[in-house]
Parts: sequence; structure tokens; C-alpha cells
Amino acid sequence: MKRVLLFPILTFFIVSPLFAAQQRSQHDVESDNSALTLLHNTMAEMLQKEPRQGLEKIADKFPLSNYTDFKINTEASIKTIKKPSTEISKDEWQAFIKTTFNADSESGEVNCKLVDLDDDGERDLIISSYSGGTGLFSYTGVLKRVGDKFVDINNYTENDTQVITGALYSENGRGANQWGQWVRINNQVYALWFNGEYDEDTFYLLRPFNKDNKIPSITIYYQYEYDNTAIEPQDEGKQLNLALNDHDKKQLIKSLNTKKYYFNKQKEEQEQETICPIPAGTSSEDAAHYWTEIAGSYVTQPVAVIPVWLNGTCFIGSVESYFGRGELMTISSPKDLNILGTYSITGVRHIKSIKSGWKSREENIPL
Amino acid sequence: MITRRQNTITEARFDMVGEPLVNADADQLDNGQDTVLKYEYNLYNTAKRLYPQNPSAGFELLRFGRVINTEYEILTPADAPLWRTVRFPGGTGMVNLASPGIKKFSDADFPHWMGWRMVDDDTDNNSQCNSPLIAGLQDSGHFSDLSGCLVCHFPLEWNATTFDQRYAWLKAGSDDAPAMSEEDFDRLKSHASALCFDTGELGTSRMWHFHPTAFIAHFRKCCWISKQELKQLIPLNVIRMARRNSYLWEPIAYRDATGSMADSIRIHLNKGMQKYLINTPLRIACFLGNAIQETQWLSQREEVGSRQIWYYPWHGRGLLQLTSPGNYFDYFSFRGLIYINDIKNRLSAEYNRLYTNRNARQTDNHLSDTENDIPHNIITWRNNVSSDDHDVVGSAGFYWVSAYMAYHSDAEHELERCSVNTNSRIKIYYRSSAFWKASASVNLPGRINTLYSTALNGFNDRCCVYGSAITVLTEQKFPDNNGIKIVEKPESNQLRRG
Repeated sequence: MKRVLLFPILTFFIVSPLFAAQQRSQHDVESDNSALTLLHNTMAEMLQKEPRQGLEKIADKFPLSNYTDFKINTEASIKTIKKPSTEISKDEWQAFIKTTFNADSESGEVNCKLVDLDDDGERDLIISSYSGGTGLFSYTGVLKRVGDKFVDINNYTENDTQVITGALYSENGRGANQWGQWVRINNQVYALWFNGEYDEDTFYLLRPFNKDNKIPSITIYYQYEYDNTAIEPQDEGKQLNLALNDHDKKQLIKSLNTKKYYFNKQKEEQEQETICPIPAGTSSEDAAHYWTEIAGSYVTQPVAVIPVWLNGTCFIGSVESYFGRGELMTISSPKDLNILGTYSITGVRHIKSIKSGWKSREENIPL
Repeated sequence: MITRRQNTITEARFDMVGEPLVNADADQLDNGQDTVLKYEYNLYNTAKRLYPQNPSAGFELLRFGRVINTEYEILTPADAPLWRTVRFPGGTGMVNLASPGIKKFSDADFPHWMGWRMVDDDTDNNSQCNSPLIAGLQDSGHFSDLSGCLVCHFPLEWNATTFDQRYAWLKAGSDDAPAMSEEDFDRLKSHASALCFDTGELGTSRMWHFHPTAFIAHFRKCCWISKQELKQLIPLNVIRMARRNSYLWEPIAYRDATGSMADSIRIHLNKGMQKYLINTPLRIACFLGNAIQETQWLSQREEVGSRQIWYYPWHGRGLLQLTSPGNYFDYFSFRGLIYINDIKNRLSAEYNRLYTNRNARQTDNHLSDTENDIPHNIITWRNNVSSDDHDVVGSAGFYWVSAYMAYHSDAEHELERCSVNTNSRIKIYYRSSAFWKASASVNLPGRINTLYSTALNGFNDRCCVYGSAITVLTEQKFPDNNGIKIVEKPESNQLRRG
């Protein structure tokens, strides 16, 4: 997987930054709370109209305006780069070519967007690049228009570990359910950053030029309901690997709907019950396999371990979620850890509650 | 690069000609980031530059002096040279090592110019060392330099029935030692016989003897992983993060029976690790710490549930989950497979478009083979990355060399003991900055220098394999809870029996 460390692509100027990233003022707090309320209400409205729809399209309700997208390839020479769009003014283009930034890009391409991020009448610069790796990561940074160029005011201290100039957020494409999209709410531009998990989704409103650790956010908590249609073969069109009779299927659905089998903090703290009964004479080392799911991968999130009864024999069902985008269950024998098969599981997601508040950026948004 | 010349007086000795040439053939054009122009770290770039028609075959030429995997690799052109700077008495010059007239050896050949020597000029059966060659080495003062490389032919010591034949001379005495009494001789014989064992037919004749510690040290350079050793690398349990600050202790279902992935890939894995210079215990620990985790404990050659993924059919395949059209086509180029660039460009552009436009991934996705009229051979090459074990390993080796993973793996492995509260009490794993950087270059390439960033997927899991690999492949001790390095194997009963 090729990686290109982008050197300053154009003229390199080193000057002290003119502005430091802002701390949030009381006015900003009120503005953010107002945006949060509007976002919250819009979500509630969307969910009321279509309770089972996802909220992926919420960002489309708050579109940006007056922006220009273009791409550059950092392997190109300054002499060969031409102004890519008539929507970019001569002044903006001059500022762009005077700007230096770096980004880790697998292909050498960097996506650029010109848009006024702080309502000062001048368009600023958003850069994003796909870095790849098995996590399929990408990064987004912001640079403020200051004088005759764009300047990183978020990370103004020279920082060798900065993956992209003006780093604001990352997206983990495999091993998480994350995305970021630019929105304008109440005339303020935010990066709406989403992190999905099995039983909760969180939306964060990131101000582009703000270093505060507390971030306004909305978290939606879910519970699931599994019915007779929930269990399918893992591979579309194939037979269910390990056919279930009606009785066993009913039992399995019941287990899937039983809260005690799901991982949560309470469960970790309290005494657990075995998932399958431990046969007499089982060594203590082997007995541990009757309590727990088998090891999975980072591509999915472990959510539950349930008993799966097949013709009178108890097996371990390890339920994994694609971070809220469907589940799968691997069935294994606690006796010898032999894997018998895998089911695809689809439940109906119900919203339990929606909470707005402020969360720690450092703990929730890895960069 | 070292040149040796046979010593004119002591023929068993081969002296170095001048100082070793270090990185003499490193080229600034090949220098990767931070690799300080070290020839070996940049071999991938060198192979691409010098052998653009088939860099993979060229890589073998650079690595071994000839193409080894002739079943899979064809050097193009067939007579492509390998010019290397070589020292000779009086100067240096360029030699084409690819020339058929030049013989290539490895440590497996026990080359004589590295000091290895068969000694069979002691023809008596009396267990005394009467070899003229060894006597000559002693006289010239070179014996201690070469003694570890001498493979000597003399009667086996562990056969009780030949004791008298070997030691009767003790009773006769000599200028150096008085004669041994019958009583003492019987006591010695009784003691030695008690230590002997049934040696069968072989035990009655003369046998070749290696120097024990030199033999072990030499064989450890091989780094070939046996079935039992591979099994030991898979920990019994893994610490997996369920969500932030919440960890599970999960048993690993490992299968290595005939037909299993672990069983069928092992030979290819060993060969591949030799080719791609994953050839020190710590490099192997870094490579397998990631590859074993990425393949779900050597059970999956491709990403599970791939048909539902938006980047299907360019989903993760191989030991390090090669993903996306751009990476596949780069691998094809490395393997010397010829394709039309337009196909690569079109698919890469579509992948990048979908990555940045998530709403289009399901509704406006144009990555499919039929839609792009992908030629059958490209589909076969791509599918081989999960169906042909040569490519399952080769794709990961390609990643290893192109991402300079050896560079990160060669840093000091200062082990740090980490404890986490899991659903099954507190468990221990071990990490190091070197392993972090190797893992980040696999999963989180933009953040290699952001030590222990929580963004890296499954780092705890990877560390569990790493801990087992450190135990099995190295002599390194683990720190106890006071930081003192005295622990022989990972705590929490992680190590699997071979």
C-alpha cells in the first residue's frame, strides 16, 4: 500500500502564525447550543417521519454554500499546477500557491475545499487525504485565510507527529463506523463528525478553528428487537450453515432478545453466569470456554455472547456488530472451540433515547 | 559486502580483503523516508528501478543473487544483470553477480570460505584428537577462530560398547599422563556407560560432529518456523477492546489440521519471510504479530462478509489485507503482471470518489467487475491474493518492503508491561514502541510517530501475538510488575503449547 509523504507542495514560507486557534467565548457556547438544539430537533423530526431510517443523511439537511472543491496531486510540480476552477479567484489561488501543508496520502492526491469557515468574509481552506492502511484511514485539516495565504492556526506549534496540517478529525474506514461532513447550522460552519456503535450513535459538532476539549454532541441510544426473520445465511443466497429446527430457532431468537447476554459495564462488574452448562469433569482451564465468546477481529465489535441450542446440545454464539450496520454470529463448541458456522443477524433498531450534551474531544475523537 | 581470500599459509582460513563495504550500492534515488540510505531497507525501490518489468523477480535477484521461486517469477529480461560493488586486493570494482559463472551460496551450504570445514584426517579410533589439520591450526594460532566451524569425524562418545576401544590407551600411560589403574578405569567406564544410550547401528561407526553451540547459533539464522512453533505463536487468549475502556478476554479457536489455512500456508510463509527479509526474530515478531491478527488467527485469507462491503470486490485479501484497486494494481506491477493503466486509474478514481462520498457507496457504486469490463486475467490475479498461498504471503511481503516495516522492526524492543481490566479479571500484555510503529505502518500509516494512539485498530490483540512471538523466537525476558526483566513468558497463561 503505497504511501506518499507530501512535502510542502509549493512555495515554502516560514512565518510565525498571526492567529492562535480561538477558545470558545460565551457567545460561541450559546451559538453551539442553539445549533445543537436545531440538529437535535431535526433528527427527532426525521425519526418521527421514518422511525427506522438511519440518520446518515442528517448532514444533507444543513448544506454548505459558496464552496469550491478541487483536487491536487502533490507529485506535480508547481510549474504544472494550474488553477483548477473558475470559481477560485485569482487572489485565492495566489494564497493557495503560497501556502505550505503536508498530508499523508496513499495516492498522492489531496482533496481541497475553499469555504468561509469563520464568517469573516474570506474563504478558508479544508484539506483531506486518504492515508489507507488496513484501517482505511483518512484525515481532514483546516487552514485559515490570513493575509496572503492559508495558515494552520489549530496546531500552530510545529508538530512532527501531525498527520495533516491543521488536523481536525480522522475517519476510520474499517474497524469503526465513522464519517465527517461539513454543515452550516445557523450560519456557523461545523464539521459534523459521526461515530457509530452497536447500541449508540454520536454526532459531534466540531468548530473548525477551536481547540476547546469540550465538544457539543448528540448521542442516540438504541435497543434491538430480533424476530423470526432476523437469522439469515452469512453469504447471500446460500443455505443456513447449521440448519435450525423451529424449536431451536425460537430459543435462539429468545436469547438474542435477552439483555443479560449483552456486554455492558454492569455485566462486567457483576458475577457472570456460564453461557452453556459445564459438563462434569471439565478442567478449570477448559471450563473458561463455557463463559465467553471466541476471539473475533477488530473489523467488528463484540456485543453479546449467547447460548445456541442445536438438537439438545449447547453451543456458544458470539455476536458481533459492524458498529451498528448489521450483526453476525459465529457458533462454536465450548468443548473444543471448534467453529461450526456463522449466521448473519439483522435486528430492528429502536431508539431508546436521544441526549444532547458536551463531550471530551480528547477521549472521543482520536487523531 | 565482504570479499574473502584464502590465506596462503593456513588454507582453512579465508581473510577479509579490506574493510566490509557497507551500503556501497545504496542509491539516493531509492532512499525511503527515514531509512538513512540503508541498502537493505530500500531494496523494494531498487528492484522497481532496476527491474521494472518484474520487480518481484528482480527483488529475488537482489536478495539471493538468482531467482528462487522459478515457479512464480520470471526475470525479465532473463539475463538482467546484478552489478554490485566488490572489493578486490588493491581496490574496488563492479561485478555482475547474476552471471551464471558465479556460484551462489547461503548459510545453508555451510560455505568453506566462512570457515566451515569437514575434518576427517584423524583416522584412529582412540577418541584422541590427532588431526593434522587441527594441529596445524593450533600451531598457527587460528584454532580458536575456526574451532566452531570444524565438523569433525570421530567415533561416537555415547556408545558404551566402544568404550574400551576409545579409551584403552589411558591404561598404557604416556609422556603427558601416567597410566590409569584398572580400578580407576573401571570406575570411569562405569560412569561413562551410565551416561550412554542405545545408539543403534550408527553408534558403532565414526560420526560427524558439529560444535554444539556454534551449530545452534548457525541454525538460528534459518528462522524457519515449524508447525509446532507456528502454533505457539497463537496465544491461547486475546485481549480485545469491546468499546472504549472495556476489554474482553477471548479464547482463540486455532486449527492447524491438514487442509487448514495455518497448515497449508506455513511453507509459503517461511519462504516468503526469507524472500522479503523478514529474517530476524524481532522482524518475524513484528510481521506475524500483525499478520496473525489481520487473518483472525490464521483462519481467514480474505475479509469476512466482503460481499456487503462497499469496496467489494477490492476488499481485504492476503496476510496483511491488501485493499483498494490502487494497492492491488501496485502489487500486480510489482509481480510484473501487465495491465492497461486506464483500468487502474478508473477503478482508483471510483474508489476515491466513493470514499469521500459515503452516501453514494450503496446507491451509486461502480466498482463491480462487470460494470468495468474487467479482463478475466485481472480478476484471477486479484482472487489469487486470497486463493493462492504464494500471493497470500507475497502481497503481505510486498507491503512489508514497500512500507519499510523492517526499519521499524529493527529498533530496540523495550518491552512494557501493560495490565487491563477485562471481563475475566486483570490481564497482562506487552508492547514496545518498535512493535507499535510496525503495527501502525500496517493499520494506521499516517500516525507511525504518534505512539500508542487509540486510533489503531486492535493493538491489544496484536500485542498478545507479539508477546508469544517474543517468547518463542527470542531470549528476551519480560518485565515483571516492578519493571525488572526476569519473566520468561507472558503472564496470564497466554502461551500455547506446541
